[in-house]
Amino acid sequence: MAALNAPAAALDRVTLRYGLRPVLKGVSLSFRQGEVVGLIGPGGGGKSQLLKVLSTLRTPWEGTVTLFNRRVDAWHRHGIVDVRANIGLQFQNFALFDSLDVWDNVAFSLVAGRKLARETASPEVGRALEEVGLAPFAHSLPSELSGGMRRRVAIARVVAARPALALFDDPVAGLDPVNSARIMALIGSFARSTGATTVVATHDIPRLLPICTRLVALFDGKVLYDGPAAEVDSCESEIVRRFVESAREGTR
Amino acid sequence: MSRILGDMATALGHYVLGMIDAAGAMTLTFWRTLRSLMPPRFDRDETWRQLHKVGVTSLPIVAMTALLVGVIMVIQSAVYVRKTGATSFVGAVSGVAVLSELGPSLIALMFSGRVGANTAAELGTMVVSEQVDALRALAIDPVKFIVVPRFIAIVASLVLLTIIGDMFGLIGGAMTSQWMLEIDSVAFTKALLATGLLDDLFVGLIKAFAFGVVISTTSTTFGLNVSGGARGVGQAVNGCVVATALGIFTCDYAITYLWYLWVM
Amino acid sequence: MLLIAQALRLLWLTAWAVLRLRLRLREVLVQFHEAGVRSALFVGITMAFVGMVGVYQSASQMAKVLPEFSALGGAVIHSAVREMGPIMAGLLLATRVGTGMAAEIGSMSVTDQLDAMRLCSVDPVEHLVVPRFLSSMLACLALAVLGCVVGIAAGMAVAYTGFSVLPDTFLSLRFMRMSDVTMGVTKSLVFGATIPLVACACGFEATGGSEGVGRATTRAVTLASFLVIVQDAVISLLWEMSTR
Repeated sequence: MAALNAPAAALDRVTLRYGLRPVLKGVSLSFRQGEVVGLIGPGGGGKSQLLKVLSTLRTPWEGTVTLFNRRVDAWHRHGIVDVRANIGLQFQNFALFDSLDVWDNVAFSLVAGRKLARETASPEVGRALEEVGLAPFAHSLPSELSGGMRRRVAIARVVAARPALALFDDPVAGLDPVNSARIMALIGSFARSTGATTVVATHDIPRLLPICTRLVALFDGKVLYDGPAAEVDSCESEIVRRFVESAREGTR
Repeated sequence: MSRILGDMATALGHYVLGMIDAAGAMTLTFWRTLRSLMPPRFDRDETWRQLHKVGVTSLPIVAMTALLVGVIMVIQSAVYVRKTGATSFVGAVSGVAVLSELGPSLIALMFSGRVGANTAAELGTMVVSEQVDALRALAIDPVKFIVVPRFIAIVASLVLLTIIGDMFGLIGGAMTSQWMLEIDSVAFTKALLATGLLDDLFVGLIKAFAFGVVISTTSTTFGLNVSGGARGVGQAVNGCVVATALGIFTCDYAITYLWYLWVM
Repeated sequence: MLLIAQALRLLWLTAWAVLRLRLRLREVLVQFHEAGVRSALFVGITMAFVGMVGVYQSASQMAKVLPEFSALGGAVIHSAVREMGPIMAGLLLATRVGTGMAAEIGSMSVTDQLDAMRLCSVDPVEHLVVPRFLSSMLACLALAVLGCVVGIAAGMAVAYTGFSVLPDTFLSLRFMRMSDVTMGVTKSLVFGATIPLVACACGFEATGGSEGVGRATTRAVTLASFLVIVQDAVISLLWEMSTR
């Protein structure tokens, strides 16, 4: 198993391209086990792409990606299935299975992935649904739910699987304030109780700051700030300062 | 037991109602298409573009399919030829089958798969991305701009492609009978010509025309009535090819029946 | 074409999964219902028309040679089992089920559901392709049989009403050999195997929203229908050569 002080996930000079256009430019980051990291930045800046790289869904041709002490980039795909078993990603566009109901969606990695019996998985699934507030909708289809509700199902799907690396892409976009607060608190307590390495990409900076210890700012594919959340206001880059400032004002 | 029967009856009822619904929508589309054809009031540039896209690019696959159909026909008749020694039979059977029957229907099926599905998908995407609404907002009639050019292109292309395809089918048949049954091409062609070829060609072309109308009306109707995003487009294409196949074979039967009533 | 390479790759992966008995039998039944049972009406109606047209064509041919129709039934039955049954089942299945599968998997691909599946430790090939592969082969065979039965029955009706051929005379197996039945079965299974592989390959490759799904369904039906005809020709040729 990984040595105690080895990072759970590390990117070294990763450049990801769509065709010829780079969306991540020479990104180097390292995440310790159990850290809760906030990922901020403008739309199109590369946050979703970064999460996709961390979840092994995109493999960059340049740079190295190491997850749980294993290299997983375009040149090293061996063992990727084992690595994936420990990662959970809440997709920005939900990616719910439209032919399955909410319960089956949330239970999917347990029942279909780890081949657990439905009864064994039931407590985990039930708890995850409770925590996102969707227990009454367990047997609805995704097409019957609102966008915000679908987002919560996607989050529950990650939470129920209890991965060692949990990634959330825009968990509270389009949610009302009550549910936003609830979801962010849930992510925080999930990280604390499971010790999972958690990365949360969001625009809701005020709610992000209480739960994360570290903030990474991604602008145009480059990391402009990587440090303690509390010190972001005094960071060197003016772009980042202004961004955080206006984000705070926007949600006042 | 009665519940199963009840479920089956409901399913059948749904199916039939669905078909009637679709048939109604297609009749409407067809009517509006006809109205825009006489007097001709449609977008000519778009028509040329569609002719190229639909006709020219389908040629390779139609030619290949027709060639293979010709080959299959001869293999199929080989059994009878060997048993009866009626070598002249091969040319005649192939000729008739390819020109009047298998040629038009299988070419139309391939064509509907390629062009019909494509049209339904294209129009469906236009609906989903609200381009059709945008056209209406600009006071451009979608029928004149979208449907009629495709109608003309599809019907014209299918007829021409059927003629070309028929040729390939006969060539395929001749090659195969030469290779398999040692009937040389001259004998094959003689037998072919002796059976009153033109009649069969004519029937085949009438069928091609009818199939073209079916394909174009069905695909444009399904395409323009899409709802439900990416999934809806997929469902429209699915419904379209099924309806087209049914339509093709129904027309095939109707025309064959009427033709033989007329001729015999 | 890249798609054929993808389809072959799927064939390899599917065969491997089947050998390891990752079969998902319940899903196979669900897919069989979708592909086979729900296509039955469509195939039945179409084959009835094809059968009737076939009889008209053959009868008018025979009338030119000798005005006697005793061989009509035998020829129609022979042609149905060897050729028309399997090929029509294949083409109609490619049409209905091919587009359906490509559309379903295509829209899953386009909305990232396939990626989500991979992250849940579920292999899309095992989960989606294998059940469709198995059910499609069975469905094609079943539909070919159904098609033959319906086509022959409809043809028999037309032969009786139009050409006064008695049902007894019509139902003659004089041209049938065991190898014809084997050929028909082989063809049905081959077509049934090809269609889901091609359709799923097209679905997996879909990118770009509803336009991508539309493209995937179109390519699926075109390629699948074309391959059905090519395989029919190849199998017929091989059979002929081997029985010479």
